Parts: sequence; C-alpha cells; structure tokens
Amino acid sequence: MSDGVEQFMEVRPRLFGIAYRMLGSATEAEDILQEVWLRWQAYDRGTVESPAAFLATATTRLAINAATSARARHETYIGPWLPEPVDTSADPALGAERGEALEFAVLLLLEKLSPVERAAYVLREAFDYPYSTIAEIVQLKEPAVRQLVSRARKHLVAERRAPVASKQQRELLAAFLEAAQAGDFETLEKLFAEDVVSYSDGGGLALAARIPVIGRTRVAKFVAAFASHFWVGVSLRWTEANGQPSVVLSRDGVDFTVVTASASDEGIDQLLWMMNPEKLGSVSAR
Amino acid sequence: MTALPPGARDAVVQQVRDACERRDAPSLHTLLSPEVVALIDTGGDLIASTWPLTGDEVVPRLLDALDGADLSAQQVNGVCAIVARRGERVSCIVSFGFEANRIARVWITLSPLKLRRWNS
Repeated sequence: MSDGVEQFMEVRPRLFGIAYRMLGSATEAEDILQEVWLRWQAYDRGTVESPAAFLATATTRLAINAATSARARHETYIGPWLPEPVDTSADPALGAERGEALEFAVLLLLEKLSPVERAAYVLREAFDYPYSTIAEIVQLKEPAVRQLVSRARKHLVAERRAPVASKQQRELLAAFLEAAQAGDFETLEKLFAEDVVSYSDGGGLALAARIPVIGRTRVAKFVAAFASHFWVGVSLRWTEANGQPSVVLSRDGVDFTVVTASASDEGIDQLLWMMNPEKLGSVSAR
Repeated sequence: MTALPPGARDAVVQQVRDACERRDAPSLHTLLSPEVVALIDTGGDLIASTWPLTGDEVVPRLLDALDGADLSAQQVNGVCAIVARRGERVSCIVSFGFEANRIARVWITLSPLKLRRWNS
C-alpha cells in the first residue's frame, strides 16, 4: 500500500477550496486539512475506492462541524466580521482550480446560511459536484440536497438586496439610548414594538435580569427603572456585533456591557444586553 | 444590476488605488456609489471597532487606513483588491464589491490575525 501522500497532494487545492469557502478562514481551512491528512494516514486506505471522494467527504464534514462552532464565535465578535483574504496572485492554486464563490461578496452571504446549506451550495456551485455525490457527503437524500441548494441560491439573491444596518436603525438605537438614560418611560414605549423582548446575558456575575422581559410596557418600565444608577459615568461607543447596530458602554475606561438592538417596521423588537465579563474579555479574534 | 466584466472592475480598483495614493478625495467620491457601505474588520478589537460606515464617512476612513503605505492593486480572492504595505509588512487589505459600474461595498481588513498569512 502506498503512503497516500500523492493522492492527498493531488486533491489538496480542492480540499482547501472547499474548507476555505465554507469557513471564510484560510487558517481554519489549513487546520482542517491537517486533520484530514492525519485521518487519511491512519485509515485503511486499501479499502478506499476513490481517494478523491473520500478526502472531499472528510473535509466537508469536518468543515460543517467547524462552521457550527465558528458561528457561535462570530456572534460575539465585536465589529464587522470579514473573511480572511487569500492571495490568489502569488498562489494561484485556489483561484485557478475554480474561481467561483471566492469573492468577499459571496463568502459574506454564505456566512448567513446554515453549515449544511453552505456545504451543499459550495460543492454544487463552486465545484460542480453531482447532486447524488453531495447527498452522500452531507448524508441527506438527493431531493433534500436539491432543495437545500435551490434555497441557498434564493437566500443569496435576497441577501444581496437587503441593506446592512441602516442609518435608520442607528437613529432608532440612538433615540432609545437617550430615552433610557433619561428614564423617559413614555418615549421608550413609543420606540418599542408591541412584542419587544429584552434579553440579558449576565453570565451569573454582573447584576442582570436572568429572565427575558417581554412586552412594550414591561420592557419600558424595566429600562426606565434602572436609569438612575446604571448610566452614571457611562460613555458610549458605536459598533456592530453580529451584523446589528450595537453600543459599547464603558465606565472609567472599562467596557462592561454591549447593547444590541434589532428593529422592524413596528419599532425595536429585541434588545440584548451582553454583560457577561468573560464574553466581553475574550472577544474572539477570528 | 448589470455586472461589469472583471477586467473593467479591475480597472476601477486600479483607479481607486491611484486616487488613494494621490489622496484625491474628489476622485474617490466619483468612483464610489453615494450609498457605499464600508465594513472594517479590526479583529474583534473593542477599542478600534466601528459601525459600518456609509456614504461620505467612507472616503476619509479609507484614506486614513491607507495613509503612508505602499499600495498595490493585485488579485485577492480572485478579484482585484488594494494591498497596503508598510515596509515589508502587509498592514491592510481593501476589497471591493460592485453594483452596476460603481463600488457599493468596501471591505477593509485590518485584523492582524487575518493578515498573518500575508506576513509569514
């Protein structure tokens, strides 16, 4: 039996292309290839009919797992998250095999799909795999895979049209902050959607309501109630977390809370107070 | 949305590079859509992180990010982008997204982790 190096190296650019597109990270893609290589080394390779298919399957499945945990990390990423740029001039392998679905625009849209949807889309659109093969790789039936790919295409078209956090949203959050600091119950009520929910993530450490507060009047009362002490000496800094308008609150130069708001036509429909010191301190670097 | 052919897009990015080098804000304004949105990845740094910038906010921030660096227009993720170097080090990469024949998205990567492979 051969040592498997040649078979691995032959498909390596493709494996990297799959993992990179799914994760938007060359560093994480390399980690996955390392893991695939170790598994390939340890495997009884004589029993493998198609090394290329075997390696693509292992890569895709590991990338699906990695994408799931990356998603959680990106949720606490402060500021916009962008893919890791890859040099396609000096190292043309990535662009040369298939240039599709490599641009930032597409990678950012893929980021909004579920990991399995992403896998199906990347294998189909960037690498032209037959639906039957994709079905085996992601362990679904073929009609389900066709549906996933078609839904992903539709998502991508719709997302291209959706504006990112608009000035309007920012103004709404600014108005909210002003009313919250003033403890202005009536204005708060006007800014909220009827079914607004306020979540606090206090990590059991900071003083925070553990139970979500629901409904326009209750949330307005809740916010107005802590106006007198909460905002004293607080400075605000605009940012974005997980694609949504956010404000970082700090006191004496120490960041202690990130407030994120989402809004619909009805007004602010969700508030998230991230007060968990551990999460704030270990904001992911990827 | 009419897509420009890739060659024409590369030429627009080259023009942006030249305008950035001259610090020519009026030219940049004509190359960017009035509704342009810029996203800046600072690596999750709380202090440096910013809101997505829109419209007139974009050009000053872009010039600021590229100030004093050597700029080259080269292929990044399969399309033309601006790579900024200070000495031997890549300090910033700017990628662009198009709508019709104008730049509608500016993606500025400052995150040191995401530039690590460019500097190894």
